[in-house]
Amino acid sequence: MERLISVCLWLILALHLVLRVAGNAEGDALNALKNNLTDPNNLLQDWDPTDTNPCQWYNITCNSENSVTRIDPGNANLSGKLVPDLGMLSNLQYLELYSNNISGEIPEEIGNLTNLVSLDLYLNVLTGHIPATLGNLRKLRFLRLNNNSLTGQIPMALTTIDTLDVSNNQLEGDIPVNGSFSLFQPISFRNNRLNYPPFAPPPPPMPSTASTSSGNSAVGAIVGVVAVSVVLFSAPAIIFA
Amino acid sequence: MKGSCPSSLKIFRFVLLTRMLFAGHVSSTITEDDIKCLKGIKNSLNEPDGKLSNWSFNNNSAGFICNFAGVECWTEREDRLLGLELRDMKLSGQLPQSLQYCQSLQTLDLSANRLSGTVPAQICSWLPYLVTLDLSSNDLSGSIPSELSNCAYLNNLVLSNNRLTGSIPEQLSGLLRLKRFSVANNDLKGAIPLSFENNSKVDFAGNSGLCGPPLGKCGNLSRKSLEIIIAAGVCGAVFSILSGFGYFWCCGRKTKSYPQAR
Repeated sequence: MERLISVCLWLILALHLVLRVAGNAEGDALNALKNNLTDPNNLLQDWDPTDTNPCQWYNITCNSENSVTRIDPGNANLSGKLVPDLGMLSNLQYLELYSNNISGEIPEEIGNLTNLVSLDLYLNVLTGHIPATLGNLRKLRFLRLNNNSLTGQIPMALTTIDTLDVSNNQLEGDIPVNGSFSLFQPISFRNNRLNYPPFAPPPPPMPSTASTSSGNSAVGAIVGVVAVSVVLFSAPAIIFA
Repeated sequence: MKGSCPSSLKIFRFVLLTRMLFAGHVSSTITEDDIKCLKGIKNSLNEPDGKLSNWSFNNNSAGFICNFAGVECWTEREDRLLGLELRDMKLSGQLPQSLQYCQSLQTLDLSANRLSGTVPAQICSWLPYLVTLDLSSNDLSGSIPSELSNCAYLNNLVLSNNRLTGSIPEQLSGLLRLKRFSVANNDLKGAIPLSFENNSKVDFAGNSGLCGPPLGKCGNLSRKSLEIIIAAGVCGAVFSILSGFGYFWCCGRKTKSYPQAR
């Protein structure tokens, strides 16, 4: 009987641990981020790894299934680096880490966040390239990476974005203009080392012959009909005369 | 006195020349000031329902205009407009010149209002980076300015449901990024520029005077032309008959009298 009770207790404990571990996977990812950041204002102090889920944490928003949808510590004096673990927050929609002092590179794993709508990492000191994996983000509408020290080329794969700002970096290469890049104008790209195209003058307008010919044909028709009617009706007169 | 005249003329010419040189290079000498832009819009347009009541210019913290109704900023912390959408607000008045201070504006949507006057010819020097311009369902008149071709980044141009007249400027074919173009339900006439032939997102319906693909062919004789032709034909026929009779009357008599003399 005692053995049974102790086995049951162990099972309950094991189950509790398993549940805590599973529920905390997203919390763990956020904690990995917290451990990699310096937080002088203690904004992240309630990010507690022993919590069952991170949904009560400051600047964290979850959906109805307790899965993280927003990370909002923008303008928080944070420094340090981003972590690849962010890529496992599969329901994340808004990653708002703008206006901090974050350095290092943008992890490629951010390309796994298929529900991401907004990626705001502007006003930091990020280096390295813009990951081409961002092209996998089919719901991404806002991509603001301006005011960093990003280098390399702009990945051509970005397709769904409404609002793009990569200005004030050190990006090189050509400015893409095809596909959804036709929505972007120089403001999105300024203050980089990009190959800015000279402003091409508009092509000469195609000649429109339609409007002038309609006028000409009307006049021609009138003249023709008058001439024919004169000939037609005067012919019998001439014959009889 | 005599000597100073030519030298001041030289200076004047030099200043004029420098100004002309610079005019070619500098596209806009206007400094961006989105707060001034929005103040001007609020003052120029009449908005009866108080939908712009949260446009308050008292608290001037960074990015405060970003919370205004209809305003979307590039980033939350800067007073720089990305988009302005003031749809269906019974706005009346003309498109305000203060728009020129919103230099970073990418989208301007003032559709479904009561705006009057013309589409300003300078709108593309006011807002050179426009990607979307929607002025549909207003009371705009006058012609479509050919200067709209200077909005090089324009993807969407919607001017439908206004009272625009004149023809569609050929220069709009210079808008290389233009995808959606609607001028439906206006009073436009003339031939549609050929460059729009292969574009599926265009709408020219509701303009009785417009012709050319994708609408009917140009060159079909209009009703007026047909009436002129018929009138000319009738007049020509009547004239010929009368002159024929006249000739018959005077010369026919002579031939009749001739055989009798025999």
